[in-house]
Amino acid sequence: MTAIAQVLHVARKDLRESRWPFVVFIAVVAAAGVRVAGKWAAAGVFGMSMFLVVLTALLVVAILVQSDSPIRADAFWTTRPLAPAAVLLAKVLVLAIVVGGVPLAAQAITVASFDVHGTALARHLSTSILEYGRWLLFGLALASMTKDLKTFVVALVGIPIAFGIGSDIWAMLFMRNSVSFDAGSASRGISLDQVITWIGTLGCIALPIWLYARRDQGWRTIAAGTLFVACGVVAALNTDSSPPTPPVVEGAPRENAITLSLSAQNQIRPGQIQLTVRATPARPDERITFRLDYADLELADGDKTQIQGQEVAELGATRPRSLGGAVWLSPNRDSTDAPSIVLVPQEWQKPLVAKGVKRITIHGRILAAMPRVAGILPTTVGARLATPGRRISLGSWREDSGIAQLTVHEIELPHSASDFYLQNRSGSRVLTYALVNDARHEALPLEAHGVSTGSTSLVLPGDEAYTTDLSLDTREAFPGRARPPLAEGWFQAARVWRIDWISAGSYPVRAELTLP
Amino acid sequence: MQAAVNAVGLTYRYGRGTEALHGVDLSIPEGSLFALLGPNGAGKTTLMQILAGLRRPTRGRAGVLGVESSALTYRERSSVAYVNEVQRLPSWMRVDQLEAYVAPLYPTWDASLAASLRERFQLPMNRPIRTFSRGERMKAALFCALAPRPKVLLMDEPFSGMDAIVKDELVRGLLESAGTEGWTVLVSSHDIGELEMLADHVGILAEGRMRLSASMDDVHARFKRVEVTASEPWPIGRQESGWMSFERGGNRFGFVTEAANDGALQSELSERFPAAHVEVRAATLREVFVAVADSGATAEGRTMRISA
Repeated sequence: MTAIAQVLHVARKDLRESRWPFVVFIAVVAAAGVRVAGKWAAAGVFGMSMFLVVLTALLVVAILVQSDSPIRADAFWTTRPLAPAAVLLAKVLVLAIVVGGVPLAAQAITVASFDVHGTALARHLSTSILEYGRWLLFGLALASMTKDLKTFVVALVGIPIAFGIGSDIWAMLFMRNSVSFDAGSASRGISLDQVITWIGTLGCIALPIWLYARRDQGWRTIAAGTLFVACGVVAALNTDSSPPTPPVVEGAPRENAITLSLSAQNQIRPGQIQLTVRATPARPDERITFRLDYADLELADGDKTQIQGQEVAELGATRPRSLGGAVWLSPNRDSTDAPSIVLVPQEWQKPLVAKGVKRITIHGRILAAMPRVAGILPTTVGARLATPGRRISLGSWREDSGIAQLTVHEIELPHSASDFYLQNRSGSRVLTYALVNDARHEALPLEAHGVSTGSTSLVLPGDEAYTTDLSLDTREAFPGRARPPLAEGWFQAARVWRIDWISAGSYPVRAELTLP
Repeated sequence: MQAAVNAVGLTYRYGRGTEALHGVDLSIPEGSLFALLGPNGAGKTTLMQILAGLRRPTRGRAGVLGVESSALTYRERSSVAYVNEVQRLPSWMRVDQLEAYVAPLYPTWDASLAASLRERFQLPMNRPIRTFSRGERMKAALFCALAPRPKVLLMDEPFSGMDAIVKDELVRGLLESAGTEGWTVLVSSHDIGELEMLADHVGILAEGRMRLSASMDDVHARFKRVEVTASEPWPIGRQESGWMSFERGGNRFGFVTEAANDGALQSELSERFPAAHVEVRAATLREVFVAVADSGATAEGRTMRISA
């Protein structure tokens, strides 16, 4: 029997042997997929479904691997003319097909149910593959070094707890007086998290290979295995929650240069430096979002320090000039005030800042965006709108004394790095909803008064759907002015328009402020 | 004759603690049936597992069919069968499924022998292995081990849980097959009676050390059971150097000793104890095992010394 034939032979046996765990796993995956795919509102706790999928997957991995354990001297396969590599490859093959492929297909169907296809779908799946793959690797490594399911479960619970306690003790003993590991190097260099992630990932690949090849149960292997598996947990748990850095996208006019000045009221204080940022849009309707990465401070005595930050400031347009030919009934509230960004020095930097600052150079990114109508909803409660990556439903609608009030539920998939900063954010004044009366060619902006955001898992980790409940109304459309009378039946003929801001380009930017 | 199984200075330590084997030397000639005896915890299973390539020795070397055990390729492994008392079998399979899984792995799988073994062992065909009794499980393990006609058969407590009829049948079958097929068999068991009938070589392992390794003929020729009976209650009688398994009671005492010549030993003892009846006979394997395992010293190569 050739090695390839052995792989297939063992894989067939595994598929049959573990058929019932597989059936349970597939049922859990299907339940998770169906639940998310048909969801239009944020209600319910379907965040648990992803946890259940991963937990069931880990148990299935353990059952699969331990049926031909590499460390049990009494394992049946070890006394047969089977190549260890063939046994391991058979496990990996079955894992890839059933434990990897089935939920990945379910994830693809779920993401596609948000009307996401092609490269966008591939982008969504790639993050899930990476993150779920780390969980499977961790499961494979842990199952390889444990003798039975009971030991596996004990280790599964025990290793993260032990690691958590260990890292707390480490932090208590060695990091009391120091700044965080990444201080001053977030934008460059390698962090401890990355090192652990790499050790965990590579170690969890190497461990099963070593154990199957050598069937080594020496204390060195156990110690190294425990370290790898512990790092593997960290790697699997270590999801990068920081907002992505938008890539450079050609297309935005580079003349959107920003200027800096000190905020009139706050000036420079050791604990806070408030700066105003201005930019002039190069095109009408252009929205400009500035994201601060870090600021270099040149101090009065010639010293230098760097302050990290991820402040975001909205510059430029907050609403399009017109919507499908409709004119705004309310004045444009694009502010002439320049928004501020705040630099917050860390504790150890405050005495440095107190010495005086000579020059501030900020480094960040400009993201330019243009408005586009994503879709239109009738003002009927329960009305639904599906746009690529997003589902919108109208939760309530009320019109009273010339003011329309409505609630909207949104479930949307994460956006690309370019779009990340352009989406709804709590407190943002950028317009995303409007009421438009097509017959009269008139529009009213809908201001958000209550924004409740959350996120919910899909089938696999690495991707999630954001939920937003918005309370919108037309109350603030005419601040400080008398509300003009609306035509009879204006609201009955109006529809809700959803406005997207589409990335038109992004690029790094740098601005300098020399202080007197 | 070339050794089919050999070990040189084999040492195995569990973790950083217990040393299960200590400098074990072993040589099993091709085609021989070697009985490995030892009390519980002597290291028999560890030795077998090392020879089968399931464990790597801490020190020393172990080889099967001229190949380092731990370096056996999967193709070479098809010539080596290993059966363990506690061996795990795919418990969800029925015997026909087990055969369908195992048979393609062996180029030498003998379907007719498999059929005959199934019949001889009366293996239940219609229920999964997890429902088997201990004896039935062992038979299923033996079925998988014997059907590929291995060149080397390592059997750790193979008679465990078997009834007397099947055990006798298995012993006969093994004797017959080993003779005709030229198999080299290493078998460990607590059933010394069966092994005595089966084996042509014997090794006694105690506390991780090989205390004796010799052919059965040699053992029978070297080890004597001596019974000394007086007409009156025995006034003296203490264990002397070279007397193993010394027992005394009333007017008699007995022991096991090594002696090449029955007559010379008889004469020597008769001269020392003229008033007593001295009986010398070849020791049974059980008597040799008890004597050597208890003696705490290597018996091989020693000459018996009798002091007054």
